[in-house]
Amino acid sequence: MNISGVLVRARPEKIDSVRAELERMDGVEVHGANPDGRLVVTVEEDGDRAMADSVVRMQDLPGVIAASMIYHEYDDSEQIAGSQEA
Amino acid sequence: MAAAADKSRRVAPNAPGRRRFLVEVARTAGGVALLGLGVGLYSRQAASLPPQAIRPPGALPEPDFLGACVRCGLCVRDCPYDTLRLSKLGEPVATGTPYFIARQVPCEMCEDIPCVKACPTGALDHGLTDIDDARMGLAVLVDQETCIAFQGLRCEVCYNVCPVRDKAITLERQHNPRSGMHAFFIPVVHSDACTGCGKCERACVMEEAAIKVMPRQLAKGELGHHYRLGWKEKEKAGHSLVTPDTPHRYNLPEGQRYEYEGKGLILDESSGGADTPFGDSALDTLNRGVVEQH
Amino acid sequence: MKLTRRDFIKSNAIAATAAAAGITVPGIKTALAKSDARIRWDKAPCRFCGTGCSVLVGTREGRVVATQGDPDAPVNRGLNCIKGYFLSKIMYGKDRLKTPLLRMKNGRFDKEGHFEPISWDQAFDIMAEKWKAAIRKDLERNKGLPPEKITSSVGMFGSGQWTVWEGYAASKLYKAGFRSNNIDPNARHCMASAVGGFIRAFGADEPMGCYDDLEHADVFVLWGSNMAEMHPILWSRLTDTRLTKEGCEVHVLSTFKHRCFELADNGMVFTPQTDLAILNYIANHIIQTKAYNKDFIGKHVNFTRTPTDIGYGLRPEHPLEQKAKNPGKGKLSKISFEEYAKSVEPYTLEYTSKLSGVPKDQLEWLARVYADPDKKVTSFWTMGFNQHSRGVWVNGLVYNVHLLMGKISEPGNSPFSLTGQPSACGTAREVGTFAHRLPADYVVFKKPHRDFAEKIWKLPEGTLPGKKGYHAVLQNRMLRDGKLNAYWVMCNNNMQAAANMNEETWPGYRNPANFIVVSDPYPTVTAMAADLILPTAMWTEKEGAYGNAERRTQFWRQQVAPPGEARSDLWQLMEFSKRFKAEEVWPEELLAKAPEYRGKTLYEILYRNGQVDKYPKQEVKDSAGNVYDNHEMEHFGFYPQKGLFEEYRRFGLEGPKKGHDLAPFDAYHKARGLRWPVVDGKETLWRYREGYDPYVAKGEELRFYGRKDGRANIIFAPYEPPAESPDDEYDLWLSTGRVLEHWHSGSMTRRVPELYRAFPDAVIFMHPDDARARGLRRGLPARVVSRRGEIVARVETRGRNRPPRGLIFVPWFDAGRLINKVTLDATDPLSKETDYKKCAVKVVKA
Repeated sequence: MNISGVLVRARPEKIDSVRAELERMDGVEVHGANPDGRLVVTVEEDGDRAMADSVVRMQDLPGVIAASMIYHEYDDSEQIAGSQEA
Repeated sequence: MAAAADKSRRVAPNAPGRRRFLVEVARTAGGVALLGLGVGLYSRQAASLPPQAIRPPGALPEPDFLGACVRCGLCVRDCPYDTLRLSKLGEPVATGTPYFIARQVPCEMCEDIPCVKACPTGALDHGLTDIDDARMGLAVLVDQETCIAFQGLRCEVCYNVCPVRDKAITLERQHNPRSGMHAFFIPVVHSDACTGCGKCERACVMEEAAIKVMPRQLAKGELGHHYRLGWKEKEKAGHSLVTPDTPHRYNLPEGQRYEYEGKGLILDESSGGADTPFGDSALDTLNRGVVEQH
Repeated sequence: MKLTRRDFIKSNAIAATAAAAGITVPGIKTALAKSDARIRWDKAPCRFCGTGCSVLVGTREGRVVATQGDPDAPVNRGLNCIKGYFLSKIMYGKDRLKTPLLRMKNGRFDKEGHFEPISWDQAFDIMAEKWKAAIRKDLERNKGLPPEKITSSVGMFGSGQWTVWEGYAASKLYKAGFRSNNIDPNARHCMASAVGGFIRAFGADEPMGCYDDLEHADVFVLWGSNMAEMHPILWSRLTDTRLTKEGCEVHVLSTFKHRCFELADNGMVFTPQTDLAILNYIANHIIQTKAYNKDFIGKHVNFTRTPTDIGYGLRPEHPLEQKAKNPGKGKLSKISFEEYAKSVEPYTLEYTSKLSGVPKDQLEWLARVYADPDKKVTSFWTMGFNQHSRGVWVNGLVYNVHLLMGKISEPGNSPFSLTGQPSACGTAREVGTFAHRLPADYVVFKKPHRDFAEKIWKLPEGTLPGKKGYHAVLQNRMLRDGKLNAYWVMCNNNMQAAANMNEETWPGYRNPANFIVVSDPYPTVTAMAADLILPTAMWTEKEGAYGNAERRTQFWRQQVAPPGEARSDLWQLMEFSKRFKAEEVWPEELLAKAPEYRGKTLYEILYRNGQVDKYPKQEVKDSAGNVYDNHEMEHFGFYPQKGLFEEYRRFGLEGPKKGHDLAPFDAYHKARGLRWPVVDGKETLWRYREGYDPYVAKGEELRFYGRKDGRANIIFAPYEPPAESPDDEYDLWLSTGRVLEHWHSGSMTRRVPELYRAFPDAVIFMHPDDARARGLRRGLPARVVSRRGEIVARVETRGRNRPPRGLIFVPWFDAGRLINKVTLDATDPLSKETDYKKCAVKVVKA
C-alpha cells in the first residue's frame, strides 16, 4: 500500500472548487488549506502507477498551479491494518 | 532501483534508443528556434542556470558558453558514462545545451576528456588537456549539522571517492572533546584542486547530500583586497617578511622552560600519566589489598 | 486511542506536507510525537567488525526503524562508522530468504534441479537422509577404531559471526553428536595464524592488552593492518592519541599505501613477505645495541626456534610441497640466548633494507622506537600478518621484539592482534569451533582435554574423536575429492571467500557425491552453489552474544521477528538434532558404556541433558520493563541461550586451564560488555601482570600462566619466500582485502542502497605507470588473470589505496567480480590460514 502527502497549489480564487474536485477523487483526502491557495492532501493507492496517475490528474485540475509529492511511504507488511496502542 | 537503472544504462551507453533521443532533442530545439515560439522562454532560461546543473569540463563562462554552444549534442554522445545530457524544452537549463546533475550521474573525469574533444565550436575549451585542471564547479560541504563526520562518525565517503583526494578534499583531524578519546575526521574542500566532478555529492550517504557541487561563483567567498593572511604570506615567501626575530631567553626557576614558538611556559617536564599499576593513595591500596587479591 | 499503521503513515504524510506548505494541521503534530515515543530502544553490539562498537537499536511495530551509537559504550562512546550508521537497514534487503529451498526436478531432489520452496520438515527430511547415509559409511569404516583414529564424512563450515551459543551448539552437535571434528569456522581465513602465534608464545589465546592501550601508548606500529578502514572507530581513538599526546608517533608498514599512511610519521612500503626479515632486523638491532631487558628475559622468557622449509599448505602432490624438507612441521626446540642472537645476526640494516625495499633511515627509526626503554609501544596487526604463508611465524616474530624489551602486558606496551569478525574471539576461538579445538583453549588431540569435555557434557568416555578434523581449506579439497559428503555451511559466504574457487570450492560443492546445505539470510554466491538453502534469522532477530578483540563479551536480546519462515542458526541446529537416534550415529561399544542413552535422540542427549534445559521459560525483560520475544525459548520450552552459555561457562571455571572465567549469563544483559577473565565480578584489562590479573600471585610481577613454566617463548623463524611470486608472464603481485563501506563479501552492506552507491563495484587499484604500460587508464575495464582464473574490473589509479609499481589491490566484497577465482590457496602450513595477500597475476585490457 502507498500513502503520499501532496502539496497542491491552487489559484487562491479557485481554492474551493479545487478542494471539492480533489475530495471527489478516490483515495484522496484534504487535511488543511491556506487562503493563499495551498492545500495539504494525502493519497492512498495500491500501486506505484496509480499514485503517479493521481498526482498527474491533480495537476490537470482547473485552477491547480502545481501538485508536488512531499512524502511517500510504501508498506507491504502484513500487519498494516493491525492496531496498537497509541 | 535507481542503481539498477544506472547500471543497465551503463551496459549499453550508445544504444540506438539513446541516439534517437538525442536527435529528437536536437530537432525539437531547432524547431523551437525556427518557429520563434519559445524565444521568451528561451532567453529567460539562459539567464539563470540552476545551481545543481553542472556544465561539462572546459565549459566557458556561462554567457560565453551559451553564445558558443551550437546545441549539437556531440559532447553528450561521446560521454562514455552517460553523465552528460541535453536539456529538454521546459527544463530550467537553456534548451539543447549539455549539463549534468552530480547527484544522479557525476563526471568520471576521463583522462582523454572525450566531451571536450567532441566540441566543434570551442564552447568547451580545447585548451583543457589535463582533466585535473577542469573547474566544472566547486564541492561545498553545505550542511555541517547533518554531515556525520562532524559528529565524529567514521564516514569519509566523499573523501574516499574523490578522484583528486588529498588535494581537492583533505581530512582535518581534530580531537573529539565529547567522547574524549576519539578523533574527528573533517572533510575540507580545497578550491584550488576541486574539479567539481560531483563524485562526492553522488556518493554522500545522507538522504539529502551534505556535500554539493555548486557553480564556482556561487560557492566561493572572496577575502577583502585590503587584507593578507600573515602566516600564508610567510609560507609563500618561505621566510618572515620582515627581519627574523632574535632568539629569546628568559629568567626561569629550575625545572621549567619556555618554548617560544611552541606551548609557551612548560611547568613540569616529568609529569606524565600513571606509570605504575598502583594508585596515588597508599590508603586506598591498603584498603583494597587483601580483599581484592584472588 | 487505537492507531493503525495506516493512520500512522498518513499522519506522517500530512505532517510532512503541512510543514512544506507552512500550514498547521491540528492534531497531527501530537500524533507524530506519540509515534516517536513508541520507539523502544535496547542495546546490541554492531553486526560487523571485531571492534565491537555498541549501538542502540530502535524498534517500532516489530521493525528496526533506527539505530544510534551507544553513548555509554566504552568502545565507541556513541560513535559509529559508516557501516554501523546503516545497521538498521541490513535486515531489510528485498531479497531476504523466507523459506527453505531445495534443488528439485519432478518433485524430487535433484543435484541438477532448480530451487523450489519446501517446508522445514521436508528440508530436514532430505538433510537427515543424506547425513545418515554418510554416517552409516563412517560407522562401518571406523569399526573397532579408537577415538584417536576415527574419521568422518560429515562436516560443517561455521563462523566468527555466529553468536556464542550458536557456535557452542554447533560444535557440540558435530564433535559429540556426529563424532566429527570436521567443523571449522571462517575465522580460519581470518585469525588462525594469530591463534597459532598466541598458543606457541603464551600457551593461551587472545591479546593480553585491551583498547585502553590506545590511550596509553607513545608509539603505534601497524603491521599489515589498515585500521583506518577496517577498524574505523579504533583508528579514530588512535588518531586522537596521536593528535593530543606530545611525542606520539605512528609507524605504518604495508605492501601498498593505504589510508593509514595519511597519519603515519613513518610510512613504509615493503616488498611482500619481507616483514619476516624486518622483524628479525629489529630483534638484531635490539641485541646489537644491548637494549634488551635482561631482567625480564631472565625471569619470563624461553628462547626457541621453529623448523624451517615447511612448505605452503598446498595439496601434497604440488611440486612446492614435494620440495619442502619439513612440510607442516612446527615443534619448537630450545636454544640459548646466544644462539638466538646468532640467528638474527644476518638481518643487518643493509641486508634488510635491500630485501624489503624500505630505506635504511626509516627501518632504523622503527627499530629505535622498539629499542627505546622509555617509549611505550603498541603494535597492531590484522590480515597482513594472519593471511600469510608464514603467518604463525610472523605473529611470533612481533612477540619476540616485545618480549626482548619486556614491553608487554602493561598499559601502552602491547603486541595487539586485532580481530576481523564480531565474534571471531567470542565464538570461533573461545568456544573452539575449530577442527582441532574444544571450548576455552582445550584441544581434541589431548586425551585429558577430551575427558574433561566429556565430563561436562555427560558423555561416555571415548565419545569425542581425537584426530584433528578437516580445516577450512582442506574441507574444500575433501569435498572435491568426494571424502566429505554431507556438508553444512552456516553464517558465512565461503564460495566467495575461499581462495582458488575455480579449482577447489566450486567443483567441491557441485561434486555429485556431496549434499551441500547453506543457511543464510540472503541468496549469496554460496547459496547459489548449494543443494538446499535454509532461510536464517540474523542479528537482532534472535538473542545473541559476541566477543570482540579485547576479550569483551556483549549480549543482546531479540528485538524483532525474522521474516517468513526464517529461523535462527540455533533453532536449526537444535531442531536438526531431533532427527538422530543415538543408535544411528554412535557405535554399539559407546552405547554400551551409556545404556541410558539408548533410544534417545541427539536433541535429548545434547540439549535436554538437565543442563542446557535447566532454565525454564521466562519473560525476557529489560530494566525499563520492556518485554522481549525469544523465539527459541518459545519453541523449545526452555531458555536455551542461557542453558548453553551456563554449560559452556563451566569450561572456563572448572577445568585445569585457568584464566577464562566468564560472568554469569544475566550479568551480560545488564552490562555493556565485560572483558574476561571476569573474577568476582571484576574485569581483567591487562593479563599476566600482577595487580591487573587476579591469576598472577602477589610478588610474581608477571606470569605467562598459559604455559606450565610461566615463561613466554621467543621463537626464531627466518625469512622464507612466498609460495608464488611475480615472473615474466604473471608480472604483478595481487593483494586482496576489504574497504570501509562494505563488510566482508558484501551480502549485507551491498543491500543498503547508500553503501552500495558509496562503493558500488570492486576496482583494480594500481599504479598509474603500471596501467599506462599495459595500455590502460583509469576507468577502463581490465582482466586480472592468474594461473587459476580471471575477473574483469575497472582500473582505479587515483583511489584510496596507492600500490607501488608491481602490485595491485582488489577488494573481495563484490559478488559480481569474484577475485577469489584468481587467488591461490597457499596456506600457512601451521595455522592452515590462506595467504590472500600474495599471488602472481597479470593485468590486460578487457
